[in-house]
Amino acid sequence: MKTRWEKILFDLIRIGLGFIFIYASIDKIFNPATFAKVIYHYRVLPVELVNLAAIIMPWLEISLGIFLIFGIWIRASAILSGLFTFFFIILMGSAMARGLNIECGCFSLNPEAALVGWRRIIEDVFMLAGFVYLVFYNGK
Amino acid sequence: MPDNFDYRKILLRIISITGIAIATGILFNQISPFGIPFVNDYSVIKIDKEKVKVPVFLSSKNAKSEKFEFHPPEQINIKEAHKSFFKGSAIFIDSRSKDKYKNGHIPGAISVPVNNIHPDRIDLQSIDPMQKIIVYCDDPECGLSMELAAIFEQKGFMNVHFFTGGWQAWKNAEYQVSTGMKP
Repeated sequence: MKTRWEKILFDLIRIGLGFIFIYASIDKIFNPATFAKVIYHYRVLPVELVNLAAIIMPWLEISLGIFLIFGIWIRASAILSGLFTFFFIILMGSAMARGLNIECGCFSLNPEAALVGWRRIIEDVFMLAGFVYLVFYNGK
Repeated sequence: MPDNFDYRKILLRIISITGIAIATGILFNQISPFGIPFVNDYSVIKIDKEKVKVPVFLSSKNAKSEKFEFHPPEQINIKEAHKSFFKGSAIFIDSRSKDKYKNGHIPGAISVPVNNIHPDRIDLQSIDPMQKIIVYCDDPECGLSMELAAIFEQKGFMNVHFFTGGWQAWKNAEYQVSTGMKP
């Protein structure tokens, strides 16, 4: 049984992560061509699948954000969000290992926005920890 | 695992959320003015024995009528590249990252890192569209130079060449190199 403070912490993390996901998706939803190019630069998907990924991924982010904020299917949303974040961590690590100096595509498609790097990976690791917390400490 | 961890229910919910996202994304893409084709166009370029797919990112589903016909640039080898360098008859464009450029580049080459620069932000006004341009990358297998060559062609430069072998070949030939951020 959660104490009052545990419940407040739980809700803060849930809503905070939800808003981060929604914020991260907005630019990509309205600039899918640019996002497709960012995905292409990671050089992991065949050229033919890049556009489909650019169309679907931001909507997965925004859907998960909404579900988290409104407390709907929290555990399922947290697991999927965690997998999504973990996948991004691996993707960025792979890009760095291959020497690709590319836009992250995490929160903004602005060319002056953050490039792939350790800071981005560390941020995502913290987010992943948040999702793990939501999965294991949720009673729903 | 917590006692109330119902795997089947959670899996069903994950599938449902994914389904909602896919359906919404596809629907929005169809009605949105920013929508893109589900599969974007690309050209297949042969670089030495490798086939490289160079995508053309269309910003509108209706952009087929404005389809950019990419004419693959002429490929030149290390000797031809060096001849142009020696004569000063070409502008070299380095499509690698800024870090790699800083560590070493062909003297006089302009850094245009294709992976993190928007085509609209490339300032080419000072370059004559008829000027011979030689684009290079790291090695024969990277398609970055081809992508950059396509961008140059879109911007009206018709004398674009692609230097197969790239930076590795230049270094191996022990030709003159520069370091730092200045050409």
